[in-house]
Amino acid sequence: MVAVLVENLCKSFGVFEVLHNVSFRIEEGEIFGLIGPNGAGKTTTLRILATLLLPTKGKVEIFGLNVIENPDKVRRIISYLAEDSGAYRNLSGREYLKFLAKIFYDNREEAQKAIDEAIAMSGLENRIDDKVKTYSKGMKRRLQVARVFMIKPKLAILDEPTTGLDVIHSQEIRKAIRTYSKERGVTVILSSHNMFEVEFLCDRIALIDRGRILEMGAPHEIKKKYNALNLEEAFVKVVQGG
Amino acid sequence: MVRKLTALIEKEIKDLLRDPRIYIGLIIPLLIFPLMNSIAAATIAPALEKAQHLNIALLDEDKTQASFSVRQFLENYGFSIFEIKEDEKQKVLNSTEFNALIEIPSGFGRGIESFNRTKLKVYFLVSKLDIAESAKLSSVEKALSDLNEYFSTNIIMQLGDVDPNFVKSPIQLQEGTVVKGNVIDAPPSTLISQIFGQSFFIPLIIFLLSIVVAQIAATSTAVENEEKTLETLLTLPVDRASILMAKLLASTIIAVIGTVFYMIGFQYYMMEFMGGMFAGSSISLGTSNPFVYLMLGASLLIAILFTTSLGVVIGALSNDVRIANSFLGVLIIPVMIPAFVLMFGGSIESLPLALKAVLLALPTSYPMMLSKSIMLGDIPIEAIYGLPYSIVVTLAVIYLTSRLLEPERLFRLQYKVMSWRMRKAKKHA
Repeated sequence: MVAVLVENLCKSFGVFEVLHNVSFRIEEGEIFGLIGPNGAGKTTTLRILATLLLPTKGKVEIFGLNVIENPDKVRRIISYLAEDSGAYRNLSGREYLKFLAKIFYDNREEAQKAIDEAIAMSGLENRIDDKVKTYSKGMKRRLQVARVFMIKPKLAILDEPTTGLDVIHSQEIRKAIRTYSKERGVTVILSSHNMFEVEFLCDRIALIDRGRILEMGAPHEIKKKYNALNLEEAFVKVVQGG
Repeated sequence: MVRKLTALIEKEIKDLLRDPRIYIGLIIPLLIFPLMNSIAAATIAPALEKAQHLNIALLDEDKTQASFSVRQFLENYGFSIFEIKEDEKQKVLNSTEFNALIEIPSGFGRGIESFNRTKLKVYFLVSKLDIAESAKLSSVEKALSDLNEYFSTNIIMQLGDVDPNFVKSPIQLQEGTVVKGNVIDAPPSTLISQIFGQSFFIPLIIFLLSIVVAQIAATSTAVENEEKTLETLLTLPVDRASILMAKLLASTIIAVIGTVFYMIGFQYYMMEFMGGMFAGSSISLGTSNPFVYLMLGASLLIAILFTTSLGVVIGALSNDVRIANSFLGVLIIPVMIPAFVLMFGGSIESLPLALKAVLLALPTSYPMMLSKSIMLGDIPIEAIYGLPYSIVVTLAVIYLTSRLLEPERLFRLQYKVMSWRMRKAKKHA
């Protein structure tokens, strides 16, 4: 089944066109990466999928639901992690997860089970009752990733999920995303600057620059097509038109 | 729906109450007023104590039984009396050891005995201009007033078998005041003091509540922007009205707690320090008309929702708390205008047309206007028409605020506000 369908998506802020005829499709259970430099249009694309921004033109559907016509239904099946997003500083990690569980689960037992799983996934068992403001950046990010998957979304939208994290924490987060997506069949779309991360995580990627998709495919296919040793080299060749 | 709203309110209250910016603000009035009181007491008590031990120079040029009585009376008052001679007078006036010089002229006793008004000259010797000095001088004044009373009573008693109290005040007034048909057993002066207290306090409470509630809502929403939690919140499957309602209710609950704490602290301060000037009067001026209280409660709720919604707008458009606080200064003005006009006794009718129009346009004016009705029992016609008007205005503001929480619109406005601030900063640079 098609999880995400984006066709000829355009987005303008005043006279400034941020996205120009962007089209891609993601199959259910796939991990899809949007790769590009700053200002390429990655965050805008993810914000449109997350129902935070409206497309200026084009069609965007998530599991067959149009984001303009059915934003409320879309919000029930997605989970969005903004770049640098924080949690409520004065709540404990457990209280934060509990708050979100109450929003998504009607059944108390199901909610509790989801919270327990999220705590285990975050690896914060010993600190979960401490206030979020006492967490390190890595701990906050682990809590955020855990809450994204806690609600069992059909589509997880992750904007730079490992930004600002050290090598060890980045690796933990990547592993968690990969494991959770593959075990539960959750579709993931993420953005990243980190080519290594993309190669490790994504089944397919789209290279985006100045609001246009320049190339799309599996990381190994793109490398092969551009005769590049790694994705970084392939990206440079794509951007330079070679 | 209810479960989601409850979860949102619970989150808001917990996050707010644990925020030092909020809970310190709540606790401060409980500490600061007793502290102010202690400081005032620590300053005044020694001054009053010192006022009991005064050095009085006495120049007795009369040397009669009456002048002796003056000396004795002042000694009984606890003052130290130092008798001086005429040539020492200038030295005493230049000295800092004495607090007063009392000159009893020759003929003082004869004047008293022959029922002629007689003079007693007093020089208050001021060495410092502070509270302690003022207390000392008041103490001397009080003693001399009592001395006059003492002589008056003695003279009346010498006249025959009459009660001095009768001679001094033969008519005993039993005062009552009628307000709008209600008879109150108190003189108008007491009534006016009570009216002043109530007409000052109720608008003060409303004013504080409106400001605090707007500040809390603005801070809470601005923190959501600062921490980027608003972005996550807006992608959750909860309608925007619930998000807004949770913020309005949580801010109101915290503001009510804060205002109660403030009023407890303030009341304590006024009762302890001001000697219960505004509080504790035995007369009750509240009307028995329940409609007035109902109107006041409704108008207060509307005013709070109005200012809280404005607070949410300010917070939502601010990238951080600092920016929100600077915008709040502008919001405070519409709350301040009616508060100050009505707190200090102004009436709507006496205002210039433009100010009257501003006042009537603001939902925050009506609870202040109605607070006066509690005392007098009548409801101004402006308030009767103003209440439905306020409801419409406030609902419109709430609706527009919930529309603002549509992410696309919010991000565009945030971007505009940010661009405007950047242009302004560049212009100043």
